[in-house]
Amino acid sequence: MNTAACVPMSHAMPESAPAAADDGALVRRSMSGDIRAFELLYRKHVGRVHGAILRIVGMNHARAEELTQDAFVRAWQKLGGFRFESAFSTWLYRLGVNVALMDLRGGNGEQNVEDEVLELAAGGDVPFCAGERSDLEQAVAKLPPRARAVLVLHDVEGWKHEEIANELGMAIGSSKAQLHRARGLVRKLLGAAA
Amino acid sequence: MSEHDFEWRRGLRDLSGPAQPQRDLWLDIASRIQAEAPPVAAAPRRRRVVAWAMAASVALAALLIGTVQLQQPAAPPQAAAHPKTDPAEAIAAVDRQFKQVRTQDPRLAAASVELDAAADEIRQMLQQQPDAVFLVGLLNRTNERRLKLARMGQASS
Repeated sequence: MNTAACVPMSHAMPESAPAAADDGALVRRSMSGDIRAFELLYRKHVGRVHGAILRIVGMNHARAEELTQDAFVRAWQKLGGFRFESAFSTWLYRLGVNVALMDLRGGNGEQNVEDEVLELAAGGDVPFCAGERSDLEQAVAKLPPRARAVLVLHDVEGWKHEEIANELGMAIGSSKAQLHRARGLVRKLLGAAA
Repeated sequence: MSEHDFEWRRGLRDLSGPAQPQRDLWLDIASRIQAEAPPVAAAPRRRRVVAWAMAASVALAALLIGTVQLQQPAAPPQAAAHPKTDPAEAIAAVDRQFKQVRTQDPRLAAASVELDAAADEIRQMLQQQPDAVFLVGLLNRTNERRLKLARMGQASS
């Protein structure tokens, strides 16, 4: 069991970027190679990007931090393609989610995780931390990766099935089916934890 | 949906929001991106395209003006054969040369003044919008007409 997952969300890293900093100006400076400006963008937005990635990878902090690094490095590489047509925060967030989903697509542990979940749901060890939020986080973390991604994107991040299907390269019907399956598994897991 | 389901579904929505990493990732990110070239901004790339288009336009105009000037032995040596490095400056130089070969035929004078004014206006717009490729095309077409007018004036004199 990953004990780190029982630690409350760490907010120890302060948001050191000035709240009023203009993203547009920082993006333009970053585009011209100003790493200091890009650091300010990182400080300002890392929480949102890392939060989404952390939930998609099932509260695996080490993996989420690796992927968050990848997301910001990729953002730096792709900054030249940013057209200022959407908010930079939205562009960055979507890029971060995409990095996590690509990692998920590259993984091959779907069957193993599912077996583990089914075992737990059938009455195995109850690994949940005290407190509802942690229970939920742990239940979501125990889901098979694709089902978890759909549940997180739909029920937590508020995406539509069309968007999820598009990002995950699946049919809309599959996204709905995965969500139904994921909710059923969470219900079982929470029932086992109760 | 049972009340229990409603509760945990609401709990799921509450899971959203930022979560800071447990360590500062910036140093690792900075070391990775410092090993790379600076990001290439789309706008400068477009500006480079415009600059090339302007340079090509200047070279073409200089060549065409040169052919007209060859037929005017009295014309002073021109810098047109040596376009400036800065496209905007080079276009201004070409514009001056266009005005030098302007026709003296009174029948064509009004059209010549009109085209010179149009070219001036386009150059000013290009200074304000250096990314606008369509303005380079417009300037080219205007210059073609100026050149045609110069040739007509030369033929009539």
